[in-house]
Amino acid sequence: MERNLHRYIIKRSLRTQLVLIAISFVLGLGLNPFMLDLQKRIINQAIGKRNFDALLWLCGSFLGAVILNGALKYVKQNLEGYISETMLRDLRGELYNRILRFPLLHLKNTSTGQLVAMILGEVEDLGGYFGLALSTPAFHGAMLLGTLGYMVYANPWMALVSMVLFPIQIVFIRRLQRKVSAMSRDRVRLVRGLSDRIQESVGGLQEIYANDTTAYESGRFRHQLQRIFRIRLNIYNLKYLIKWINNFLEKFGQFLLLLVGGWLIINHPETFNLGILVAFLQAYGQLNEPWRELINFFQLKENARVKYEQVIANFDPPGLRDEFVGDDAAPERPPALAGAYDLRQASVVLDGRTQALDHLQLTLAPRQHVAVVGTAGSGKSTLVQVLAKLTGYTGTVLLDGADLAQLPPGLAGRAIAFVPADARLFTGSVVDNLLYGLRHRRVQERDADLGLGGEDWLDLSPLEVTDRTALVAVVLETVRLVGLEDDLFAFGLRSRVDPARHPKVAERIVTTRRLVAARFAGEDQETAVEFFDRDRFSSYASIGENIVFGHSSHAALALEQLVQHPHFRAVITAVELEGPLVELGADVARDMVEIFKDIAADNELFARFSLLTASELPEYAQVVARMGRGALAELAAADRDRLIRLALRLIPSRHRLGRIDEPFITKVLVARRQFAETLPPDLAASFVPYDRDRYFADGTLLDNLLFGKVIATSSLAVKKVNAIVEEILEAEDLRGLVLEVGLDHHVGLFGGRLSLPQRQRVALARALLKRPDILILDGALVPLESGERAELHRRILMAMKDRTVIAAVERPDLARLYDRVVVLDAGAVVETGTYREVIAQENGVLRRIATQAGVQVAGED
Amino acid sequence: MQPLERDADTLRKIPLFAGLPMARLKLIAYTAEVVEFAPGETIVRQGDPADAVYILTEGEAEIFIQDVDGHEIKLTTIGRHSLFGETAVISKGRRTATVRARDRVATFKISADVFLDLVRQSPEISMQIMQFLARQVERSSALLQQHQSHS
Repeated sequence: MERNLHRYIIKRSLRTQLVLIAISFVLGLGLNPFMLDLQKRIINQAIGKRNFDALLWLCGSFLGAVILNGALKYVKQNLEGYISETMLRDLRGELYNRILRFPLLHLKNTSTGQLVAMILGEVEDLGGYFGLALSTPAFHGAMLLGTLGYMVYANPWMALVSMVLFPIQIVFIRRLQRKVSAMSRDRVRLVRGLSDRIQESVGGLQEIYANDTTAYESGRFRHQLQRIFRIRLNIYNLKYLIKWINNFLEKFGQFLLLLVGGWLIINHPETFNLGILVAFLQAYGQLNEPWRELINFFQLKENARVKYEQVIANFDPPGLRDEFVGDDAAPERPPALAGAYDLRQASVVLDGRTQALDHLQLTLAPRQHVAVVGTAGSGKSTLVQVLAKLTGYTGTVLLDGADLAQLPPGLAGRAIAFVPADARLFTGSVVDNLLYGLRHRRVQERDADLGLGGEDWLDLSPLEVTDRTALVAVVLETVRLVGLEDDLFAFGLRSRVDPARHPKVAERIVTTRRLVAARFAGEDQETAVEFFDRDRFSSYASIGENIVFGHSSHAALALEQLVQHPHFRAVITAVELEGPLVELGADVARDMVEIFKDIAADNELFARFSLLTASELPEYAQVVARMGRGALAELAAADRDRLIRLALRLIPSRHRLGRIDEPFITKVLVARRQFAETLPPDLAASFVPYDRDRYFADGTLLDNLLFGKVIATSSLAVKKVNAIVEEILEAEDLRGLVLEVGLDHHVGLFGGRLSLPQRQRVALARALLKRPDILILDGALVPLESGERAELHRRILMAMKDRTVIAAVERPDLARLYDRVVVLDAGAVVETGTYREVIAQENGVLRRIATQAGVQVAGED
Repeated sequence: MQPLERDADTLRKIPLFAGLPMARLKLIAYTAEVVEFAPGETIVRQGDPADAVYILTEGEAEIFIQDVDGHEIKLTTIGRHSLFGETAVISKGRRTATVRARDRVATFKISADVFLDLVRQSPEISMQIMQFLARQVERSSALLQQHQSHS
């Protein structure tokens, strides 16, 4: 990237900047002295000589000049904005692209917080400068020159008087401003440190709690804030000192002008008159403005230059990866790689000191399955990262006879798959992550809609499928291979499906519902399901849900809004449920306030258990206090509404609060019927009552299958429900459908909603779905249960038959499954051959590692 | 009496909670989950991470530990109003024993963080737990002394 700010600006926006400069000159050198001169003429030639015609003409010209001046300024400001915004957009894009090219090793010394602060915050200030960089000095310079020129033309001596203070200003103010700049730089540095601290604290909160260092961290942070505060205060003081000096000198200049000008008019009326004095005062005022602006501008320029250089330096690490091909220009995938690696004198030095690979020599036959074994620090991770072209090295690495470093950009990422021990997922659904490895290039057109989103960036050619059915089949096959199927099934059952978007799914679930009901009816034991029944109160649903007993996409019928809805009010008044709801709400409010009044607002208990949010608590505490003073009927309408709202949230069996008796339940059931039957037509259209024959959108797939809710009080019964549901789905051939729904399960930020083993399995499936020529694993199965690892290795090797697999394995016995073992020690290959050959070597490194790991080494296996 | 008050009353019968104010008891009862187990079902398993403290409200349960060879040794039987699982929750470790329902069992399951919060906020409970743990240490050292004098 261009390291010089102004060269960067000129390169990116020269044409627009030239237009801006031209406008600035017209404004400053043309219009400005012209208007000054007009003022003088109006006073001297029109008013002084009492010539009304001339007055009209001159004033008319003045008005025209004012309008033209305004119009040109408007154009100029808009152009400046345009330059600022386009350049800001491009700069941010370029900086982000730079991050995408960072060498992985560099990330260890990079703070995400700082990168974020730079791209979002610091660059923002630069954006403002881009538009002003050339136009401000041009405009104010021209204004200054124009005004000065006019003054010299009008009266050279007076012009000299006006300028007598400028040198003082230059020396004094510049010095102060340099001080401000230096402090600003410190401030930027400290603020960056602050974002580091925040980031580290968030990431290391567990350590902070575990070490009880909250007070220490808080103190440290405050100390840093205090330093920033001092600097800012100093800047503040200096800035206003500069302002004060400027103002003073300006007024002092006026004082000189009036004194000298007045003396001239009185004593030498032939050389000077009132018109000139007024024009001079006016000009002097105008002289000061560009002058001040110019001084400010140099300050701004200096700051922008420093900031730009600081930012750019952070985005130019050594070993930056090659530039990547944008959008749709990616080349077709070349013929398959065989994976015949040849490493000669390959070395990698980490952090400038640690020799991770030391002149390593290694030759691998094509299409082999190779296990790399070594103790921690032996360099096995570094080696496989080099093979995956993820780490820079010195020496020579050949792949299929060609230099690995010369492999065309983009090819390595498509032909080679790499799975580390802590694979990252990205925000999105499971399927988004599974197909992430196929988003190399933009696809021009596609016949079938896959229902996935972002499809223009999805290259399905490696999978050899074109429609959704085939794609889902391929994806699910891989999901099965990596052992993710049961998890996906569970995700599916707990997902919500929009029946409008997936009418077929909804229909099949509703048909199956009958089978599920029949099956449960045949069970003689008590079941762990509370089925929905129009004529029965559900104690596992909230009171509000019990009354509405249906689903509406209408916001006014959302549970929290219900109390304000006229139809709802009419129903509960008609069935005399309002009073009981207020009483129930009062009971609940009393308990909630009693239980939670001493709990800190940020305590997790609030979010997890309370029927009131922490911010609602004081409000309800007041209601409870007012309740104590009289009958509930005397409460204000707003308070009664609050109590009803709370009562509607109550789930009787879960919260175990309040008195729910038979008369109350009867009234709820009557209200339920009335609510549905008398629903106004405009709401009826969007309202779907819970009905055995209809899908309800607010429930999960499981809720819909059961047409009820699982009661979580008996763990055995819950297991039984799951078993029955799974059995029926299997029999009805619906397992695939549930799995497909599970593919849309959201994985959360960085995949945080999945467990570590689940994330790792997704990453493995993602690698396999890329259909790579070479699969490289770097302890990829470590997060899995040890019993499962060998089996999964076997399945992966089976799937990668006749293709290359290179795996850094954490346990020597896993190497048994591979064609060949490479043993590393201190960054060099010490043993290689089949597992049997290598393990047979007396005093060998592999034998030692295996013995230490408790692996049987002697005898045949 | 509403269900929550009844549950709070049940909790008061447990020695550890006897001295707590009503609001605290209600908080425990309110945040606790009612979980039932069938005869023979495992409530907690030795070696599992400790995520909750249990209080038996109905039925009886048996406590087992596994020796190094994997054999189960029955330690004792516990009945109504017994609290178990608190040691592992306090040490943030793993279950030291397996507890299995002997007949139909109902429990209050108090999640680990609620329980720890409670211990942090009520000195009475902390004291009670300290006394209980101290007694256990005494018992273990006595056993150890016996064992050493035998061998």
